[in-house]
Amino acid sequence: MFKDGKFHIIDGAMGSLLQTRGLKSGEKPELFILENPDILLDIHNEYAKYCDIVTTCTFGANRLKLGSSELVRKVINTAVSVAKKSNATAVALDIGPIGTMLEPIGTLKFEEAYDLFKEQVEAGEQAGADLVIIETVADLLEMKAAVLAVKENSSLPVIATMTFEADGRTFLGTDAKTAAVTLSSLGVDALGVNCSLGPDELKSVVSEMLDYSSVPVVVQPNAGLPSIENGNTVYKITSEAFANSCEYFADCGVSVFGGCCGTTPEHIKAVKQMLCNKTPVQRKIKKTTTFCSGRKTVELDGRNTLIIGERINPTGKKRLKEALREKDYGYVINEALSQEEFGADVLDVNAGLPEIDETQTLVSLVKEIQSVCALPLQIDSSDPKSVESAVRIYCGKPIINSVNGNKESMDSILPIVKKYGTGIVVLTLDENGIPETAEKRFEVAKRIVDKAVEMGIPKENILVDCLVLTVSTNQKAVRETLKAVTLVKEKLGVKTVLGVSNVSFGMPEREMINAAFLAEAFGAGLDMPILNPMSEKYREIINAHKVINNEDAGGKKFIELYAGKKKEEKRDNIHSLDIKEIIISGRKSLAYNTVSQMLETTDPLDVINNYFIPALDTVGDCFEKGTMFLPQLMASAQTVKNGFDAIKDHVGNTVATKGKIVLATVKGDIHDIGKNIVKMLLSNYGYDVIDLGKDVDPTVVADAVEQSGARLVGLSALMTTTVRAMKDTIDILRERGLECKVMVGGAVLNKEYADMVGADYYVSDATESAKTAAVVLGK
Amino acid sequence: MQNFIDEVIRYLGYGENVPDKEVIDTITEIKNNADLLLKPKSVYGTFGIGYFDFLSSDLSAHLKGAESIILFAATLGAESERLASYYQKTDIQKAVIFDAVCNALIEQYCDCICQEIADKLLKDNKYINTRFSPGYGDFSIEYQSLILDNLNAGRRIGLSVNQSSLLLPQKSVTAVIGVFDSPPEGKARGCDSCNMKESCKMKGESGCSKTANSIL
Repeated sequence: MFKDGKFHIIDGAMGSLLQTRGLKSGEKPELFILENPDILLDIHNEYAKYCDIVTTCTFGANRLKLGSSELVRKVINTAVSVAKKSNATAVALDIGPIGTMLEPIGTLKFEEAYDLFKEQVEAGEQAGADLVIIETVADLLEMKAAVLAVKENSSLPVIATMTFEADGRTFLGTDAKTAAVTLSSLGVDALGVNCSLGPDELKSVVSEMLDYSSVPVVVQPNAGLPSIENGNTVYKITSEAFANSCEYFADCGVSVFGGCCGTTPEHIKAVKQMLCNKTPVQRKIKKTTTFCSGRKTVELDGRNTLIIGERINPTGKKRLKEALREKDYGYVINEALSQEEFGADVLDVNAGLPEIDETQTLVSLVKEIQSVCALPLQIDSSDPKSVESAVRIYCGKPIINSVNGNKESMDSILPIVKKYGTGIVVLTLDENGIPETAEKRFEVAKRIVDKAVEMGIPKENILVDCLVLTVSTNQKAVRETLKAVTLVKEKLGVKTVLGVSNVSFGMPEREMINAAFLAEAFGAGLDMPILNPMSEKYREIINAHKVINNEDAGGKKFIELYAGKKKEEKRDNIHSLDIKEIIISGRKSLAYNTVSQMLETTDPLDVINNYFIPALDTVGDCFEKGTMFLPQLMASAQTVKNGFDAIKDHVGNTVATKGKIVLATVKGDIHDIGKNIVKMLLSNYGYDVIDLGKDVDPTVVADAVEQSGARLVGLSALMTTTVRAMKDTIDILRERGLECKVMVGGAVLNKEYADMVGADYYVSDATESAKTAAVVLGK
Repeated sequence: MQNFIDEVIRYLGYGENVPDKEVIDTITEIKNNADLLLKPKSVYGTFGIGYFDFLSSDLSAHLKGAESIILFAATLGAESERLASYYQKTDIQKAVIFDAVCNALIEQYCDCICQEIADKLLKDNKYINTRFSPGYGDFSIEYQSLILDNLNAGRRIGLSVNQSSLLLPQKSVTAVIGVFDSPPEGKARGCDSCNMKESCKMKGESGCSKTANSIL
């Protein structure tokens, strides 16, 4: 409805007008209108004089805020019915943010958010809404849940607008470009900005959106920044000033206008008058290749290179396999963060291990990585179910790796690419295998690209991988790959990727061959190599290539990196220091190498029992005596953790443990640093800790104890309001007759509370928990 | 800066002891990183007396004689959550220090905003007293959402609560402040009104962790 080349005007604020007609501060507008439909109709009609779309009074009409699905339906039904009686051309069902935060910061799950929105959408369409406006959202993932809820449960057009701060980002750190890229790719009908600041402060946000949005851009600002005086919220921007700012936006290319907090029919009237002699400006939309996380967009503009980090792939990696089996996502996150540090622009994520549940693992990896790492992800799997599950909960616009020329692959993967607007890696192979010649590979690529484009997948989202074969078994084929890259790029006009490292398989000095191949591939037109960014040889080629390719302007970065720098000399022999001393003094960076060296002559279990544990005991004693303090205790704990990493890398497996312990921060509670400290220390002592995380349902704790047979459970609760959940959890453990002891801790707890909730032990700090574990499970 | 670091050191449980240089360097490094990445935000507004003061007897006592009240909310923002998670997954010592740095930062930030409010009101010969937060005395933390709703804090500063009335992001404060026609009696809030008094390890020491949502 917004592609008609005309301006559209949406109404202004509802809440503040209701307040002038009897809504009290703190009262829910959604409930007020149930009693006062006439007032609501009046306001809609006031606006309808100047706008063509009115929005329903349903901003907070979700089950979480209203308490029941029944009330949600009642409010939405009333609000839409009243709006439809007005003189407006179209009625937009208004959907605001849920009002509590989604994971990982909050505890609301993506699927729960989706279900809340779904109820609203279904009720809205039934009541006769003509379109949906999702507005004032700060979390891109919450917005994605809402957009999917609209698209999957109705046939209504959808406008998606987000709220930005003075720094050009939402509260959760999404910038305007990222919002525009993600929402465009999800297929909304218009996108933009609402609420936020006054119109003048939104200029840069709007201009980025105009560059990157493939659909019309909407602007609905506030009437400036409000102040609250004697319970009344006061806005200061006049209708004339408001319209003047909107004129600026109209001249830049914005075609849908409206007002948010503090705007009145006067503001909308002024906008209408301002627009009456104008026609929308033809926009210049950038057709570059873009991918993003929730906080960062990377872009191929035809002149630059992007590096895809390959390390999160268990194939041939003992330690990563073990980490995935054990759900030790901390290890994976560190792999992600170090690749980011070494210059990766995108991270490939693969969880393909025969003995694990790929879908669930891939989803967990995506959630965990995107909670701390800002790089866009490439979801690497051939299983359509895993791909879709991971892409669905991904915040941003990911790449899917991959589709090939097999009918089955195209039929299952391309619809996902289309629906979620992701990037896609196209492999030049089909049911007949990998063609030998460059021309044949080009043909396969063309067939897949044509099909994708026919389905409506933009060419910019397509990356072709011409497949690297190993030089040791297929020497002639390597050249064909390079030729194919050039062909595909020139004739199909798409970008290219290549997994580089495979080329040297079976050869000595693999990095040497990899580096030479990478340089040649760049020459052939490679845009995105998939490689290990930790390899210095690769980095040298990449950094040099960026100078030659005129990406690194003036060679500035290159000079910074290499001018006047000699190779770092090997450090002195640090291993003269005893590991016990290293632990006690908390010298985290020395542990890994020292322990690695010890393992050449010492059994891993001896390292733990004869060195780690006595050192930890010493630190624990000092902590209790008050001669050492929490940061020192934690430095020692981290040092032991780093030592354990060396052991795990050495044996590629877990060492024999001293028993299992289930840990959780209880339902409703989100503070988990205390629990994480305890976890670290207990792992240090050699216990196998099953960490269930925060906000853990009592039954989940009981299930974990049942499945693992753990004989000790640690529960953490930090607030008086969540201590109840501690009791509920212990009650369930007892009801099921599970033979486990329970220790509890947390800021508001004490011995009496612990007794009250039925715990066996109260632990006042992490060292206490280690002592309790020794009592229950043995040292 | 030195005062700030001293405050962090107290939150870390050092009492009168002096940490070694490495710990102080780490505190400084983390504080600098926090200054760079965190964007604290606040929102406040004035409200008439008679609407909020009846919520708890301790709050009523705090507001006794006030001519109006200020509702106040502040947060270190979502990035504080992300950084906390980052440190917890990469270095537990830094995680612990970051937590203490955040507690000190949010207090410092609230003090700073409240000073601005006080300066503004002083021009009209009005005075404010200290912040009284849900969780103090019998002022239930379940009132967090009432304060947030009245300030429209979700929209204004991205602050919300979960079903257990815990603030999200965690490093946040809500409070009620009294506005007076004459300087209120300078009675600092003591440990007796604190809901952590039973288990607090810093009870009786100067500079306890005063944040309603504090952790360690």
